[in-house]
Amino acid sequence: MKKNNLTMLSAFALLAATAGPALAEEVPAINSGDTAWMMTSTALVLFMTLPGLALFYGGLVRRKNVLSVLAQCLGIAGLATLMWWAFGYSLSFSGEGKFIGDLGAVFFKGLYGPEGSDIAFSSKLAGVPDSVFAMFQLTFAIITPALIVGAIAERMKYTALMTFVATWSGAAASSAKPSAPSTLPAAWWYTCPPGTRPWCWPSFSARASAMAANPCLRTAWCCV
Amino acid sequence: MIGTSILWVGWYGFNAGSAGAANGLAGNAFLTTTLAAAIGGFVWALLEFLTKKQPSVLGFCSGIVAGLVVITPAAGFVNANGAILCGIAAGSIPYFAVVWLKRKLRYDDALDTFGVHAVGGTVGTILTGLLAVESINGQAGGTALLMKQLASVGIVVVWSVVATTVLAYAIKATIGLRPAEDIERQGLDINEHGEEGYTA
Repeated sequence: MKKNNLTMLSAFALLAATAGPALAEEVPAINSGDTAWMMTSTALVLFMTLPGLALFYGGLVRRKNVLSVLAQCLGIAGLATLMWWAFGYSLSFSGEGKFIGDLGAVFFKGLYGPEGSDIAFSSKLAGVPDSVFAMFQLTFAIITPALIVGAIAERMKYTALMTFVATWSGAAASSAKPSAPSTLPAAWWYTCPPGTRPWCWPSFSARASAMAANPCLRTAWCCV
Repeated sequence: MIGTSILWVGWYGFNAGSAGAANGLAGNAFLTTTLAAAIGGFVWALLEFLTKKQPSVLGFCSGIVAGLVVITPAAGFVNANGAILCGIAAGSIPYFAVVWLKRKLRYDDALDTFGVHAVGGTVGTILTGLLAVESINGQAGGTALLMKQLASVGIVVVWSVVATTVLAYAIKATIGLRPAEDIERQGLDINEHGEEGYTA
């Protein structure tokens, strides 16, 4: 009996060994550990904005403006998500262009994979579904404009801020395609780990938008 | 304080998640992020203690966020020793930007976004060029990498300032950026959102 089991086991092992690589060629395997970590990270980065950044900035303004900061962060989260689904993801990660993506993945087209498979796999993140990759990057698209709130808190109309974020994020998405670290954007790539590259942008934008909003207190070094 | 702590926790997803997988690089980013944030807050408060005799909670928070900002470009490229140096730089250079440069240039920045994020991000980007260790992510610090880092800072500054200035002035000319003066004085909560957070 025991011997039989062993024979069965080795037969299965043999079957698995021959079938394994053939299967792997057709449908890339999900790496559950990597996928779990990327989903955890996605939630953590969203948590940075809601409520992390909202409370951080909200705690620094006067009591009469606390809610406006929370509303600004919430509004940006919704607006950035809508834009990301409609075209931001596509312009950032679809196609072969060096500086700008194409419209091949607008409205998350292709996110559910080619015909006959449930799920698409990102070529950038082996073993992690595109849906997770797209959501991970979305959380960065949310926190990046949300950081600008820090510079205009208490000083900007809500409609003006929403308009600004819509246009600014559109401009960022259409010029922020990550590329292989061998060409000019290599510099951007080295600046930050993949995906976090636009991090440094909002801080300078914040400075510039605050100056536009506040002409009387414009700094000496930027006399626009 | 709550916001800072949440940011710190969330930043693990930001830096360690950017490895794209649950691997050694993610572990290293987790470690460097922790070290830089802790040291950044400590050094900032220490400088406050030395210059003003009082370490403030705001100082700790600013230093922690500065530490996180400085380590973000470097997290996937430096080792533990590099992260400690990043933390010390984060606690000191943005500190002087906020305390000294802000007064000197008289710019309006109630929340110190420029001093902490722009100065901190630039410091971290430059330090990555100096402190990167080849065994971590195949990039060794030195003149070549430093030049690339400086170029990237230049691109980022130019893009951000140009795009923002164009957009901001376009909005200013059409729908206007600032609320009316009496609205701003009374507060945005009641006027723009019809709610008040604190009534007493």
